[in-house]
Amino acid sequence: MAENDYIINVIGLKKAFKVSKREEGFGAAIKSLWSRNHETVYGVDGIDMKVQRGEIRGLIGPNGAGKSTTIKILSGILHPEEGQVNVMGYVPWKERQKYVKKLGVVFGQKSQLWWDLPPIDTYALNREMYKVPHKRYLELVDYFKELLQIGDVVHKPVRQLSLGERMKCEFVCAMLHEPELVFLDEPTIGLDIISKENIRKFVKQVNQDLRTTFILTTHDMSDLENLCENVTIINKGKVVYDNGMSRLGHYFSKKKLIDVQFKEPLDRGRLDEYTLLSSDELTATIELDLDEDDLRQFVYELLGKLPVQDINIRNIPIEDVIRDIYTA
Amino acid sequence: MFFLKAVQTNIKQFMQYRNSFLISIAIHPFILLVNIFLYRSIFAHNGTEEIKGYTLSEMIWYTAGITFVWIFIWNFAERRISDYIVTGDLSIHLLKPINIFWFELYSAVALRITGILLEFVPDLIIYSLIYPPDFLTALSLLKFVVVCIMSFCLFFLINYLIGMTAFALKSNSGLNEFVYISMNLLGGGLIPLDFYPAWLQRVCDFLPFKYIFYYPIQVFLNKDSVSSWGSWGEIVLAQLAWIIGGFVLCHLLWKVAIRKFCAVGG
Repeated sequence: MAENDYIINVIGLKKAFKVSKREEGFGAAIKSLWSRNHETVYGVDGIDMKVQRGEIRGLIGPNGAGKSTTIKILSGILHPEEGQVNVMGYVPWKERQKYVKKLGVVFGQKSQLWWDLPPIDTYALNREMYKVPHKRYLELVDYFKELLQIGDVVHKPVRQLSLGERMKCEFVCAMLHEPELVFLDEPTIGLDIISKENIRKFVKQVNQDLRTTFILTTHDMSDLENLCENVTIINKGKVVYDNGMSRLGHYFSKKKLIDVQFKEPLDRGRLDEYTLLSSDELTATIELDLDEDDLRQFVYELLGKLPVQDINIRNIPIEDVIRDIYTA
Repeated sequence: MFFLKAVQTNIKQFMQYRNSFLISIAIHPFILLVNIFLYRSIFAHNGTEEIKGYTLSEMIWYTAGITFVWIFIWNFAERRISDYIVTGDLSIHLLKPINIFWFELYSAVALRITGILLEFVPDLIIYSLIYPPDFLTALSLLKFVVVCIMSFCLFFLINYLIGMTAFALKSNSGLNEFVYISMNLLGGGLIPLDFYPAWLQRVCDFLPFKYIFYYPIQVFLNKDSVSSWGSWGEIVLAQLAWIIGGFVLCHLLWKVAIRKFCAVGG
């Protein structure tokens, strides 16, 4: 694949922060008035990343891993120390005003809408800001109103909207200028399950209809499973995983979890020989390493030894995979 | 046009708080009354027609002029900018294809248009009924409006610069207080500078503050020293020079600061 097929191309990105260190206590607070110890920390420490046009890419990592910093550099807010970044043909922080015209951003924890006014007023202002032709603007507003079912909502002051309604309106705000690339920063945080699903459906639909590329940061695994084909995981300022979601599901393909339910309360001692993840009198979850045991053989023996009523064999859940990667 | 839409949207937003504007219409006449009583007593006590070149009417209207200048110039760009920086909300503004300086200026313009309509116009009418301004002409009022617009720009730039200190200071409320007090004391925002000793007036010459209050109020009072076109033009030119200086400084500092901005939170 040719290099210019990538909408985002990042090589060796580094960003340092000065962190001031202070001892505990009042004396240290006074002392810090004239002397401060600074320490340089690399928040982003050599990240490489490529994203194709039209992709919905997950970008995840534990808190403080450097993913927000990466997003901020990619969106032109922060100036990095080292590395090459090319997004849609721009170096984001060098031509900020031109570049952000083609960019949309949704923050789950910050609002871009004017708090005291109905969303439609913010849209009208953005239309001028991004110089969207009037006819196209009306078409898009209708399209989004229909898609998100917010016909009435956009005429109510933002402060009166529920979080779910507001997030839908935030999405429209970020999409009205038809950006080629949209950053979604924890867009489903705090939403109920139905609102979450609506937002996901919307992202999928827009991705198909307008071929918009999305970069999604989230802590909600079901966001990733529903939307992303590929996921990039960042930890301690470095990329630790950069591949398909499905491969992530098979990360522990050599391990299985077996949930067992017993017919009668069981004596603890009878489970001693197994690797237990959890257990009580009537149930147990057993972890099985396929390198050491054969699945068929194991289950056969289990059924023979214990009063099993029900049994369920499953893969390690994706949350556990990610936890494992985060703590590595 | 973006400018018009931005002003319009801001006015809509500020109109949500129209009660506070209406309250100030109710309060301002009392301030005028207090000053009428105060200066009547002072003039009566001294048995004089003039104090330091100000008649009783001019003295009372000087204080009204302070209120009017405030109505023309007041904005809270310093708080808005430092909040953006300290909370990291500046990020949201950096993601828009706008220059934040101009965007904030439009917001301040909108705020002042609202203020002029809801405060200046009614105030001027009410004040004139309470204590008729014998010195005022249509032309002098127009000249006053022009110098006030320049004051507004100058004050906006000062506020913007104070706001930007949050890049380095994080908390700049102390500095803000200091500049406000200096501006009031050394700019003629409390009493006319003519009341000060010569050396202190000399200090004021080197500061921009008197172009915010003192000279606009002189124009408002239609004082002989500023009534010619030439002397009025000089004031406007001096204001312009300070504005250009402040504007250049703002932009240079912004360029340096934005590279160091570290977009906290979220």
